[in-house]
Amino acid sequence: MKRRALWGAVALGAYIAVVVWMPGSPSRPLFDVSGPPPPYRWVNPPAQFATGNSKPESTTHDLILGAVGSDAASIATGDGQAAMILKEGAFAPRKGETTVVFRIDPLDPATIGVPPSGLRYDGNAYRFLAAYKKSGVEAKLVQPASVVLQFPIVATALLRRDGNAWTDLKASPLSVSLQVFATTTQLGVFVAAGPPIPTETPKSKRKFPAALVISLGAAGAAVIAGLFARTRARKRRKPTTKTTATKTTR
Amino acid sequence: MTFSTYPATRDEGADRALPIVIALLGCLALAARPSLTFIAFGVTLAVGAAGALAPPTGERQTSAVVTCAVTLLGIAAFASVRAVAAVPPMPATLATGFMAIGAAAAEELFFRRFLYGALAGWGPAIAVVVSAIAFALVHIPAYGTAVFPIDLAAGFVLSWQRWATGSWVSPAASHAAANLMAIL
Repeated sequence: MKRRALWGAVALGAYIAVVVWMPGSPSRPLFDVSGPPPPYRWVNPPAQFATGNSKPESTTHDLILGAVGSDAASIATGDGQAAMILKEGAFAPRKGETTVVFRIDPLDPATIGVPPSGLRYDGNAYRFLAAYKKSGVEAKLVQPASVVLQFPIVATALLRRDGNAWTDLKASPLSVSLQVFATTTQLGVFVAAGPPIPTETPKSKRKFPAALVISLGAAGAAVIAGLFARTRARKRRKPTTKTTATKTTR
Repeated sequence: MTFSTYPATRDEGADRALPIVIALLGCLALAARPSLTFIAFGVTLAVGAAGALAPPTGERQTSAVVTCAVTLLGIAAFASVRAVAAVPPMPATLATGFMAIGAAAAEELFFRRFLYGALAGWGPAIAVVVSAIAFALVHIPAYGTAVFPIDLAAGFVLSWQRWATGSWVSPAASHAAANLMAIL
């Protein structure tokens, strides 16, 4: 048992070390495949998504200021479409202030400007604002923060509006959860963007869904093989009437 | 049912091949499953069913106290990461919660009940290492190689729980908790 406890401490310690010291990007306790997310909520939906569209959510969050600045926080809209991950001290302390009010609002990106050449907006733009509560003075980031946007179709870039132009932040798309994230040194308006979508492919040229067929076929075959193994094991046990007292894994 | 030791019968060859066939088919199905669809969830459940159908290994389980302690340690590790790491939000709905738990149970039935059990005849070290590596590898097509170290380290924790308790239930509970923490 001591040996198992020792190896347990090694496994648990190694796991925490790997996740905490992974370079840069947002993380999760475990990257596991999940089902489809709820439909994307558009400020101004394209015609094909207009039916049944729900309005996207805003959020407001109070960050308490301590001696080193604001608390660490992960602030997301209620629908999970936009978030910012702030480290401790992301906003500096200010005399007479105890709180920074942080706000995220969805916007129609078409009202802000045209996308950079070769890109199209993928979803809403989001405005991230922060202000000291008492004075209403704008609060600026003093430490980089991670911005995370969900996208509806295909996004490869995360853009920040700086003046009259978009700045392409070095984004990491996470296509399995339809999210794109990047590090930013300032707040403002952000939008996910991707390459233009090709016009509809004729049916005859549509790609055969090989991965889907392989996955379904292999899963079905695994179940049949499992059944076969169980049947064989039962047949083998039949002649033996003696049972053991050992509690087995079920 | 193990890769190495079966009773000597005239069908011994077939008996030895079956776990290998199930392991390869299950890993292939999980690696090729499409992202973000209900089909992916269905494939995961089917692979879990294959793992559940495989005959039990006859390992001795530890006491309920040890099982609870090991399970809590695993959940605590995932919770500490949830608290410390910058976790991007995932929309939490009843459906995603149900799928998070169902997928965790199915994957643990396959990796920790069946695969670990099939490898146990080679010793716990081989069973822990191979089941953890296989678990991390099947997630690469969906998430990319960048998350391989995290899933590998998590796989080691889950496989250690299987070794320490003699049961797949402890890693399944921890895995479900980790999946829920990713969306809550």
